Amino acid sequence: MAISVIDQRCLSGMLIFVADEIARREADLNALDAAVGDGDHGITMRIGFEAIRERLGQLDPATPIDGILRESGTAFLGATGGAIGVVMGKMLMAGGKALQGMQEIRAQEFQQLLTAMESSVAATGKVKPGDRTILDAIHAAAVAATAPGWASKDLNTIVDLAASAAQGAARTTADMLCRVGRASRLGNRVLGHPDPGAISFGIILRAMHHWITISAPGSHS
Amino acid sequence: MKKLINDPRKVAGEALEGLALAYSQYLRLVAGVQAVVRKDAPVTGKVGVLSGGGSGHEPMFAGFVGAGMADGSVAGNIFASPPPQPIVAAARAVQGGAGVLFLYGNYSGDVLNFDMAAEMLEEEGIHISTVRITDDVASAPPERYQERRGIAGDFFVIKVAGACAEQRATLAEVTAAAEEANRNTRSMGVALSSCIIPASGKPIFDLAEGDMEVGMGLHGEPGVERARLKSANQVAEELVTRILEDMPELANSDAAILVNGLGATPLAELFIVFRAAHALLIRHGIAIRHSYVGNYATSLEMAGCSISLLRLNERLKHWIAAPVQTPALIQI
Repeated sequence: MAISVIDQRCLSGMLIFVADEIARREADLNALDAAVGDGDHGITMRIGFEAIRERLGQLDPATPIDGILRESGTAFLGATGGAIGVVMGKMLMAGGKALQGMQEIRAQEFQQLLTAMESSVAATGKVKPGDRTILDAIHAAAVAATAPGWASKDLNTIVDLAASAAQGAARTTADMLCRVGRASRLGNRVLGHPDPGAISFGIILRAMHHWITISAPGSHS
Repeated sequence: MKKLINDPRKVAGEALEGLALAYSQYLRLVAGVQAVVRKDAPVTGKVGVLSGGGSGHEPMFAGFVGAGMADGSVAGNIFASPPPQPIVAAARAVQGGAGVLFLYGNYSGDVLNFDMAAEMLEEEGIHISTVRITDDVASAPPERYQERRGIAGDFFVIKVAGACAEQRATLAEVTAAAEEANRNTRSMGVALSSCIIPASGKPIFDLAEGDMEVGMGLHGEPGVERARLKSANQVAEELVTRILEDMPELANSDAAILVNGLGATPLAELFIVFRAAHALLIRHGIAIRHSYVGNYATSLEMAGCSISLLRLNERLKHWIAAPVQTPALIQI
């Protein structure tokens, strides 16, 4: 029995669930990164999400949704460094800003979240879709979540669609050449290897959806 | 993986603490962050020169903090830029009222984090200027020089900026000096073996026994050519030739040279490379005014070396000759 709405207590639980999943996938993400970078993307993501978990544990349980997202972004940014630290940190903070004053996340707020995160990543990284970055996954997720007919769909379905789109787009980065970042020096050698940041974003959305499907209404804390 | 470490996640922090303990006559830690500043920081009325970047390149950057070079340095984790907050903390600790110059290698992670720190500091009223170091000839063609990354040539740029700042020049003047040094510096490296990132425990690239890669970056970024390993004389010739092709005006000028080890190459081999480079430079009419040989900008235990050349004019000559007291270099 999936939940249909995420309030602030749910959001914390969901982010901690994502942190667990990222920690489980650390070695896979390192291996992906080793093909196109220095092999530490999984480590960085785990450190960032561990910092989020720690920060959430210190927050007042009454902290609203936007506060949780902002604090998560600050924690990620402060703990990691590297390009991904700023990109992910600012992305979460932008998500918080977009949901300012909201008490709950339903399908529509989830769309707003994705759209705000997409704009943030594009601006921070100065990238566009097709540049073989995390933005490819976020863009695909935002497009899928706002596709015609979304209004008749519930949160569970929208997150599922977004997660599938992000994961699919992340896989197709393997066919793209890289224009920005350290991997841009690799030229053709990146072909056949997906962008680790895009894969991570797919993992995050898939974990969110998984959490939604296993959380019965009212059961979470 | 065989490493003398305690915890793979604490390598950068514990190394920096050790450096600060060993060389407390030159520098000290900044409380709560992975950064060091010169012992007498902030120096009133002086531009603060702040360097930094990922760890794993020791003694770059923290080893070049002290009188005559950088006022401070911020250390990220291995091969990862530091986050903005420690950069902000270190900038506050070195700012003596004349502004702060950020000096770092041109990598996207460093650019994002240092830029964000600069924004935060400007809001506090601390004036920040930035020079991104782009000495690596192999990393992009000349027409895209602004995309080039920074490698061992960081040393010359920090040396020049530090010397200029020591004379109480303004932020604009120190920035111009650093830009001038960067414009006149070229580097080219060769890798003979990979390094191992402590946290992953694995080599970051494969390089077959008997092969070398010319132009490989400090984090294993692919270079311009993979080939069978040649003699030191031949390798030196290839590196010097590629630098001279990129900067023909080096011929018949004065220069400073750095033959830099990447971590696992013995000093004896670096001297053999220097010997060969010396002969080549003389052949091209280049007068070597200053030479530096050793491990200045490493890549953990990577084997190989790089050659950096700084074309000297009168101003740069003066700054390069100025005295320095840092853990990694003492120049009287």
